[in-house]
Amino acid sequence: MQNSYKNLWFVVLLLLGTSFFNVEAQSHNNDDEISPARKRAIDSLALEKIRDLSKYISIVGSKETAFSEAQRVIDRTLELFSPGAEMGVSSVNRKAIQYYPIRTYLERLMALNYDQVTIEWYNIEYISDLEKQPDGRYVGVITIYQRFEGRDGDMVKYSDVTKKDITVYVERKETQIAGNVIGFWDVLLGDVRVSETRRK
Amino acid sequence: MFIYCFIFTIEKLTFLILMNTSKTRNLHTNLRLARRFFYFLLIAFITFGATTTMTSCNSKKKLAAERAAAEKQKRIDEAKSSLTALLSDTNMDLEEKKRRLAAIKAQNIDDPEVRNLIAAVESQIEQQEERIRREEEERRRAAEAEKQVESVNEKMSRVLGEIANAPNANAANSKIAEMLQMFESPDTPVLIIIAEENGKKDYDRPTTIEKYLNYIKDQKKAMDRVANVGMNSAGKIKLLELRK
Repeated sequence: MQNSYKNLWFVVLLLLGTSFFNVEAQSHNNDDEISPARKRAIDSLALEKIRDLSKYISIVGSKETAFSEAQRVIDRTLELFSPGAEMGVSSVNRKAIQYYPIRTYLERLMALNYDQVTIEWYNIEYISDLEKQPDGRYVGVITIYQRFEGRDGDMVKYSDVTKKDITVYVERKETQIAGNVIGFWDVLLGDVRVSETRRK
Repeated sequence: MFIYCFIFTIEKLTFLILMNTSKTRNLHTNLRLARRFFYFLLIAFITFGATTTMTSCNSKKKLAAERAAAEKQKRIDEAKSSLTALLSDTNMDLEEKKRRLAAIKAQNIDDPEVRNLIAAVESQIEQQEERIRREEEERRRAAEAEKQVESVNEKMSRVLGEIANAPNANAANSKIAEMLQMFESPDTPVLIIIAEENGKKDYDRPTTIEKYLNYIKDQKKAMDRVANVGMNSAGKIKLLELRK
């Protein structure tokens, strides 16, 4: 009989505890709610980071870019990605998709054996809107189409169009600048996955 | 004169009465008695007159003092009322308030409560003057900051445009070097506002001026506007806030 009472108390305490944490979690979420206008600004910021990446990749790939400039741009490109992120690379000549760490991918891009490399990204758009996760981060997926062209002289040696999906993480962070605490949205890109490759 | 004649007449009448009624019928004695009576009456009248006059003077003085006191109290009450009104009216033009206070002070009212009220109004005027001085100073600083922002914005817009449209990396780097002269160091923080709501700003990840200028060079776009500029004592920019 005493044991049943003990079990009952345990269940009651467990239920109370669960309710408390639910309420806490809900109030925390409400505090962090952002208005549609601010959300739109964050969406635009993430899209802009993808456009920036597009430009950086075309600079690194271009044979006209000086080595020092390319190295600087690689460093800036890495700042866009979350640590450990990978880039998928595909070819119309093979089925397998290979994934490289971002720096390795960019260095391989620099070293491509063409006289001229042109990389262009277009149709950049969300396929999965930024959604708030339980950990407070916003996560979404942006898709892009990449047109790649490698030339030797005037002759196109290789070209393809690849559809890539990029996971985007947006997190609210704070830092101190000139003695003031600044709240900012940190946009970090995750893996770039190849979803489709075809001849141009 | 009238009183003298009146007393003289009474003396004569007394003499005649004495002459007719006195047992002695002695002319000399009766005359002396009548004279004494005359003097007695005269002294009595003088005493009565003096007393009456003195009493009357005292009454007049008292009345005048009462009037003066009432007048003073009235002035005190009016001064208190005016000073209280001055204290409670915080929208009154400061010069007008000072003028009214000076008028009250000119009355030299010797009353502790009035003195306290005058001190309170003077203190309030000082505070209002201080507040006005502060507001003017803030306006001046805001105008100066706005002018500074405009000046920096104008120069930055021009140079950033030149960096973005530079024909090659070397030309862009040369413009970047020129631009960096305006800043405290290449690591000067740059904050970019992406949204602002109810005074709360959302920023992009903070960067430095050198990275930002290289970003303009790489991306070939200069679309951000200067929102705020922080300058150091040497006139160099120590913090730049941009708005998308």
